[in-house]
Amino acid sequence: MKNALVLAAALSAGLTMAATHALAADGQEKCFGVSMAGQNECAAGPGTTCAGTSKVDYQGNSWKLVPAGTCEEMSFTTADGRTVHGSMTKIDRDLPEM
Amino acid sequence: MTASLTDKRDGIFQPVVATAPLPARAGVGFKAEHASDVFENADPVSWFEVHPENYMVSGGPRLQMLTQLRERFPLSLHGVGLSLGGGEPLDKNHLRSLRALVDRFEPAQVSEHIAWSGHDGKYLADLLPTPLTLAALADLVNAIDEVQNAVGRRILIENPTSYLALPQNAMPETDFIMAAARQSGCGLLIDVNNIFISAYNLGFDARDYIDVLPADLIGEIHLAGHEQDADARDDVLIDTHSRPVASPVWALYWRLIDRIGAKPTLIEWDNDIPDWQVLAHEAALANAIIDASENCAKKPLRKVAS
Amino acid sequence: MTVTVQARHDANGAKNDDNAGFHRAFANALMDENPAAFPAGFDPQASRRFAIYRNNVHRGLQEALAAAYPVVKTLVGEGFFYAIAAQYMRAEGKRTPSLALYGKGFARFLAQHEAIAPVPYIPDVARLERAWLEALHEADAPVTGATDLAGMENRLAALHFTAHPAARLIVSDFPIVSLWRANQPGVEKSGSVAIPDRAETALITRPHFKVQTVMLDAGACVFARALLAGMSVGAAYEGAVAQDPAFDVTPVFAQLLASGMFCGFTAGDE
Repeated sequence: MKNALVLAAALSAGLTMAATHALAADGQEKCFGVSMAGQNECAAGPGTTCAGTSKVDYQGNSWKLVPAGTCEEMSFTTADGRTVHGSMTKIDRDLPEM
Repeated sequence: MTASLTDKRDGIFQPVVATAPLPARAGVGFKAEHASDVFENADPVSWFEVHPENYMVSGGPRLQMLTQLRERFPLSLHGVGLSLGGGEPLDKNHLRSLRALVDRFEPAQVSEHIAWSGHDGKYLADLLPTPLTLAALADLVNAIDEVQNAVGRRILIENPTSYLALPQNAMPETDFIMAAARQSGCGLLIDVNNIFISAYNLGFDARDYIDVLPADLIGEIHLAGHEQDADARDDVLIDTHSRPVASPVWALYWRLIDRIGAKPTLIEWDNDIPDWQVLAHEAALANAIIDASENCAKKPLRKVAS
Repeated sequence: MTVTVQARHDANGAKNDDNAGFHRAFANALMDENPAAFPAGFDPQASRRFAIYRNNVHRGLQEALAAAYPVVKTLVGEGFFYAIAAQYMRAEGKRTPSLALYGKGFARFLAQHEAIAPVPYIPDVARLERAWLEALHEADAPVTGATDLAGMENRLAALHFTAHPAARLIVSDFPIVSLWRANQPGVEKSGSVAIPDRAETALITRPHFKVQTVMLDAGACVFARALLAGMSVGAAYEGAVAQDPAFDVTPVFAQLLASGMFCGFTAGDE
């Protein structure tokens, strides 16, 4: 472990370094009026609305649990040595069709 | 206490807070996507409406944006979550949150729907139909009473969109909403698009509905676009707020304000949100109809030479 | 027409049974697993119309969840996401009329779901997205940055910081920040995505009005966690070195100060 003087110097250097990082104080202005897609840092999150929807397609039971996302394309090994495959096993879980 | 269709209460609700009313011109529902345009030049829009539910958060950019909007424009808080027609005690936390927003933003108007949107502590994310019965009317009047006392304001309540006639219904919707307003001392927010959709879906004449609405109760008008969902088995209009206001809805709107005079008029557009210019154009149309209606009213009738 | 009825609520505001019966039947049919369900007493001809209400409810809640968890949706695919969103919606207890912070228990729900077992990193990505959303709507507070510490250069090790309300630390065994960045809505994907095989920690902050995500390595994670817990800078440093003997405090301290994760400090008596 470094002694107290060395730590104080290291932290003080960090303070100087941090002062040169410009904090994005204008972030809010940049985000005004930007649509959500592709701009996650400006995303607005979910909201409540009073509008209806035109198509009867959210009944909730009309899909089977068969993944088709980017999970399928990924595979990596974790720090503790486990290998994680993105490809998801098909789950036989036939929910009632519409 | 007793409730009926014709009784008037002893006193009209006395507001605690007096705020300048909304201008009797076009406003629009505020969307974050339009913020840059709105803060640069909002013409011809002179006021904005938001759902208070979307601002029931501790802090952050949404509240910040609403603060900036309120600095420039009159604001209307249009609730979707109080579940006035839910037939159960109102959510006290929700009422407190609404009161906090009213205190902070001092809106020109506070309104809600004649609908229910939750049951047994679970929000259902839609405006569901209230049965048109005396029992439901009494519940609704009590609920409005509670809200008006909680926010210290007279509120407006909005007529619903109907997709089906409930088997429980025992009276015309116009009787129901007018009685609710008279008995609670609240006002009406008339959504002309909702009337058009309900008339189409349930098979009545929208003009009959429009023509019996009393001018003294109406504090605001809503206009929006709808979509048709038709196949061999059914033909139904859905209140999607995803398109320009339809021509027959403009005609009904004109018919209404010709009789009752100009009112604050909101363009709602919540799905497939267009560019600001498209929304501003809808607002300009509403203003044009307000102007045309007022000009006709002012023009003295010319005597025809005999 | 003059019809008089008794008031529906008694003096204590207790709900009336008949009217509640209507609402309960309607609400149950809306949430029924059978998509053709409709309330008793309704004309079967009207079931197609009832389905409109049902659709609006399901859409409202599922789209709210999708807006809160866009990266999870991308990772598992739309069909899977909406199916699991429907199950989540039915499993929920309370649900408030404000959907701004909808989906609080979704990461836990995913972690317990058998279909998620083959992709165990998904719940951690959901935790990251949840932290992001909470940070967005957290209380405002002035950020403590480097300039606020001018004159404190010799006492930095003794400082205790106050965590900014929006600051969140998400620790994972998986490369959640890389996954999250590679699957942002609107990011073009070409073929397979290269994800580094490592554990990653996400530091979420919201200096002013914009949410920021910073990736921390193991030593920085220990350091940041200790500071958020209110430990002194010196004690946090010792913890970080114990985790990673090569821990270099200078750039990490700079990064954390610039991230906006603090909103105040006290000079301790070390």
